[in-house]
Amino acid sequence: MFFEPVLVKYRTYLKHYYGLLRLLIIAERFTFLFLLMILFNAYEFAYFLPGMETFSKTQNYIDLYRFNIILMAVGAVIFIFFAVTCDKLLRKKREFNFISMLERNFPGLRTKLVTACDNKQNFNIVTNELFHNVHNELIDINIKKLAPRRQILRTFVIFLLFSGSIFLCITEGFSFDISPRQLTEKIPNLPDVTASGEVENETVDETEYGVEAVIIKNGEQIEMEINPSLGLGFTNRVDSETDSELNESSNSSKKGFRYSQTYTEDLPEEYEPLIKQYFEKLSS
Amino acid sequence: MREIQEIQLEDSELNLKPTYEKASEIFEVIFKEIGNSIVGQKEMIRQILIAMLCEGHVLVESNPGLGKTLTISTISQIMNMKFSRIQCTPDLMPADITGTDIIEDDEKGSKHFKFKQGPIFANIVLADEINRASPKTQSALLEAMQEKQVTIANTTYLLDKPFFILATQNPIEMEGTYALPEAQLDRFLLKIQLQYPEKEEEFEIVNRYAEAFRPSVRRCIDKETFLELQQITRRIPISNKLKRYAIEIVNHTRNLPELIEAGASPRASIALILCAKANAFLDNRRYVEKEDIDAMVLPVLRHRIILSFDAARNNTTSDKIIQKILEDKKQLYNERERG
Repeated sequence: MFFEPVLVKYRTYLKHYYGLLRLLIIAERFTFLFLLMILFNAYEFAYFLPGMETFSKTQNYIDLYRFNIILMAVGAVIFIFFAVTCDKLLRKKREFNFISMLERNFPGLRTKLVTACDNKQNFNIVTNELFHNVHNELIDINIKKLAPRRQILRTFVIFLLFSGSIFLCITEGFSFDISPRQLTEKIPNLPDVTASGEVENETVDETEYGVEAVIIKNGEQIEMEINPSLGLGFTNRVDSETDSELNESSNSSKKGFRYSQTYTEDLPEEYEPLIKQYFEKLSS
Repeated sequence: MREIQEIQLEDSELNLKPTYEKASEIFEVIFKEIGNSIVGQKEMIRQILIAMLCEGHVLVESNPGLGKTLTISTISQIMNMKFSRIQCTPDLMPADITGTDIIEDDEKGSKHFKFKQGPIFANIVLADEINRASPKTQSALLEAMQEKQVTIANTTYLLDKPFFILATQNPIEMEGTYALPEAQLDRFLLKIQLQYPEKEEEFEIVNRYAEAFRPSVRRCIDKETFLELQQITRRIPISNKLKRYAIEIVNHTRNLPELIEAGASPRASIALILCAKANAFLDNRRYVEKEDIDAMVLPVLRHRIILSFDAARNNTTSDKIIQKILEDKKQLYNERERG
């Protein structure tokens, strides 16, 4: 139909713009992700892979810093590729509706254009007039109005900003003093949870008193829990009064707290200096 | 890009060109002429014209004295069409409508049967108080309405084109009436409900008709032109999304078992789209818009649904239900449009 070449021309024009915008958005997201990776030393994630750390130390092609940068760039590329693929798969369902877009932006074409497109195989005296009408209106519209120029410019500026920041970070070697490995070290040990969701081997919260509660000596674990606020110091004999106080304080502190039997038992003599050392350290 | 490669239209299309080009003028003159005779009732006049353009028939439900007969006889005069009126009564027989074979003497004195046409052989037929006729007589109208032909004693007679029936029924007096069967109701393209005129309109009616003045109407078009207008109406294009919108509305009437016992048939979908085309054509538009469908939903559907017992018990009318369906579908359509 004679209005179709105009539509094809407009569609091609807009496709180029939207293609460029899409490319810029991908580039912008890549640079943003890459920048974050550099700032937070995300190359350490790669070292969780078996053999990677050894490889990084043994390879002689580039220095370690550059090697880490390449690792992060590859990571960012993989992530963006994955995201773009997911987006493409989902986008299949919501096709870019060029006709609706034209009708929305040019009210003169409302319903007329889609009717002409749906009836383009239907030649009669009425559709003939409609086709002429649509053609005349189509050639008069300013399709440039629909080109996402501002979006392209904005995305490009953001892309430049991120790229500049990346360049600065790499040349200056700047990054935050945070790394994935540090973060994993800071995460407290979680209790073992069974398949049914119950907590197995319930243990005392070792940070309850702000001190280490277990000492490992020659491969043996010795429980050493005591409330330092009691100021009792070490004794291997606890009188009945203190014992009840200890019990009371233990029981009332928190539900689930299990008070240690360490002080009601006679410990072997060889542990004595070690325990003394612990409390001395604690009181200093 | 500005040069256009002209499409070669077929001769049948080119024959329609003169009528097509002056269609808007024709409609303007028709409305003006009817307006000279009828005060108000613009919606009824428009819907009658829509039905005529779609080759359909109309059922008018109104109290007496609202100008139904005057309207239809005026239209027949304007279009130079043969008009007849059938006053339906319980003792009216099918032959009274279709006609019958009568014995006739020829010049030689021998007798033979000759078919005498009934009032159905007209272009515009007013079947007044159709629900007073017996079911047998009502069903005699069925073939005429649907097939545009009548069969008498194994002989089929084609009715003249255009053929249009305007049937009326009184909504108040139901005693001694035979409610139209669903199959027959479905054959009416539109059901129009007439309201009393406004005070000002009534004042004008009194001014015109309570005196010696008798409005004369001018013949504006002939039958052939009107037949061409009917052909053009079917050529008005409609987009696929609007077709789906119309179908969704009709289809929804089948999915409300708590309110509607029997929904509208696919014939209703066809009727809705056709009427929307005619509505667009009367507005001098060469394509159908959503508003055309919205405008025709009530008259097309109101007689095609059967209310459930619960709905009837709660005094819910078919108009209210259809209005609700329309609102829902409109909202859905708008949401879809916004993307």
